[in-house]
Amino acid sequence: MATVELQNLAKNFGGFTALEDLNLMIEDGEFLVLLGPSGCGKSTTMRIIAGLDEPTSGRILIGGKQVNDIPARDRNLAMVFQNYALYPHMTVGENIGYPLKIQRIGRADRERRVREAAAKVEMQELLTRRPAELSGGQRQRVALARAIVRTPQLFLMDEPLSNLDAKLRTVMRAELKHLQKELATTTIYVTHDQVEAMTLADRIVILNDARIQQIGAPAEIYARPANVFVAGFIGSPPMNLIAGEIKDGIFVHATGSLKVEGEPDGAVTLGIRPEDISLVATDKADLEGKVYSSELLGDCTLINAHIGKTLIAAKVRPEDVREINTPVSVGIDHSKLHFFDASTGTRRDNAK
Amino acid sequence: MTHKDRWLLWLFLAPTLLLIAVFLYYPMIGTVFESFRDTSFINPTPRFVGFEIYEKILASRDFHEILRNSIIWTLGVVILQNLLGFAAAVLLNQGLPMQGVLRAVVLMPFILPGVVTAILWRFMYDPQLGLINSLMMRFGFFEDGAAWLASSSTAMAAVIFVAIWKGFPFSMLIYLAALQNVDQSQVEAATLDGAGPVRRLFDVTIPAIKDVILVNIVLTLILTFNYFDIVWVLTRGGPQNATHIFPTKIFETGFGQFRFGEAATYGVFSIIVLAIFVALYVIVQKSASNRRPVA
Repeated sequence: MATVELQNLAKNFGGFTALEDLNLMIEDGEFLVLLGPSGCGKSTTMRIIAGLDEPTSGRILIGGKQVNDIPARDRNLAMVFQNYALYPHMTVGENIGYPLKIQRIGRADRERRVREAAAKVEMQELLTRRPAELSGGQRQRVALARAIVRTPQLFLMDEPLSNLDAKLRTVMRAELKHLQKELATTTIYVTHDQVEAMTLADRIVILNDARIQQIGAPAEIYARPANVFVAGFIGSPPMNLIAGEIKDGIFVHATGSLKVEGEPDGAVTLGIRPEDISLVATDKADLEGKVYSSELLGDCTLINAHIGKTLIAAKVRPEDVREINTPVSVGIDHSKLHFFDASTGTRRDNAK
Repeated sequence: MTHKDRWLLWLFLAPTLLLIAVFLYYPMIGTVFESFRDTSFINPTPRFVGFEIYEKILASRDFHEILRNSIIWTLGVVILQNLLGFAAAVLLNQGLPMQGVLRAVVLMPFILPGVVTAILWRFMYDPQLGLINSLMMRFGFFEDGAAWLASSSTAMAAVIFVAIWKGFPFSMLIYLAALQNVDQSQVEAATLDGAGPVRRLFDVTIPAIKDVILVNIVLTLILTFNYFDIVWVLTRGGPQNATHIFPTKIFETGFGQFRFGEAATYGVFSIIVLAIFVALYVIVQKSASNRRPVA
């Protein structure tokens, strides 16, 4: 178990900048999720921590000790790969026991620890099988067991659930979270799936364009996205963003205006989450639009409507189903508005 | 499939089957027939003699020397060529600078025709003018030049060396293609599990390409056993019988001495020995990994 610290980390591949001046402190026992779209640098960050790639510059400290010059095999980290990376010619038991075999741990001791690790992921019945004879979920469990069997100081997980089907993913997610809390081992988890990030993380690091966009607890990131990118990335569907300008406490956009008392003047992007929007009577409308699509999801209805040229999404009560192309009046919860600076994209009240 | 389709099927297959029958099976079966008949230059009318030639050959010293030479030659070339080819493939798979150029350079000997290679090496091995002796003498290994190809003690080794020099790029090429298909995340997983480069090679890489190794060894086994041009041009099987292997002996007996019955018998023996070679290897390979197939 250990803390991880990244100082001024940068990585270039030829002329391409994968990471730029990354600083990050990961606490002991924390479950940290690196979240971002493809190519944002999250996997690169993990591979650098693992020692599989070398940073162009910057320092990596694990447990307070600089590890830049320590080869991957000596860093005592365990990694779970997206495609599981099991050794196909070895049985489940041999796969799990492989790290111990390399440490030259005696046979009896090794078998006991393999059984213990396998029991933790409920694979003890299948130790003599080969990976090819297992389902995706079972393979994932074997990969996890191989990671936990030697009690490493750090777990690295590179999109471990993305090859599983949706139902299994939900089950494995819960198991993973439970296991991590039980072992209390520092874990770094890479994903592009915001649901995984929100449910698993103690803290989320959102990366885009080789830079950290925001670091925070899931609830904080959801409630106060630091910039337009985070606002548009987190949430399903993501936050609605409407460009406009504030003048004398009134937000003016392409097709109307909205009272926003106390906000300083200037060009802004207004953000509003779909669940903070409701359908209202015409005389109470904040915005007027036309229904583009209406989808009943069971516990709510998802309505997409054109406000001028902007398409906004609203999560409304299940009975509020609307016909396509009918006019719709939309009410906004005025206490849940987010304002971002139009030129920089950063949250306006960040300084507060 | 209807009755008519079946006719059509045979119709399309017929030309190929005919060609195979005439040019492959007829000569093969003919060889076996020929081995039972005494045919020679002075006795042009073939005479059926049963197993007489077989008995004669089995009792001769030539046969035993040739069998021994063939085994040494084949094992020597196959083992060394595959080891060298594999090593070269691993080396050229490391992402060295100028990798493409290096690969092309290493491939050069393979592109040369066998006869050209043999003539080239006859010059290299030449006792007076050869590069090898001149280097050896310059660096003080020898006082006088050694007759590499003319001495019974060195001729086989010298010929094996040339065959490997020419053949290893072929093995390397196949190994290189296999190495590039090895799942890198397995190699990385082994790295993080604490395995060093040697363990990764034996625990991940080699198991991953073991089918390719099998194919490569069987392939080189067959090609090497049937090798003719390099050996013939370098030594003609000599000195005495030191480098005579089945193909050179068959050629010499048949087209040098016109003893076709004997040549055919040697041919039949060579097929039997080769079949035993390949069968042995496959059995050893299967029992070494008598595990269920892996997807």
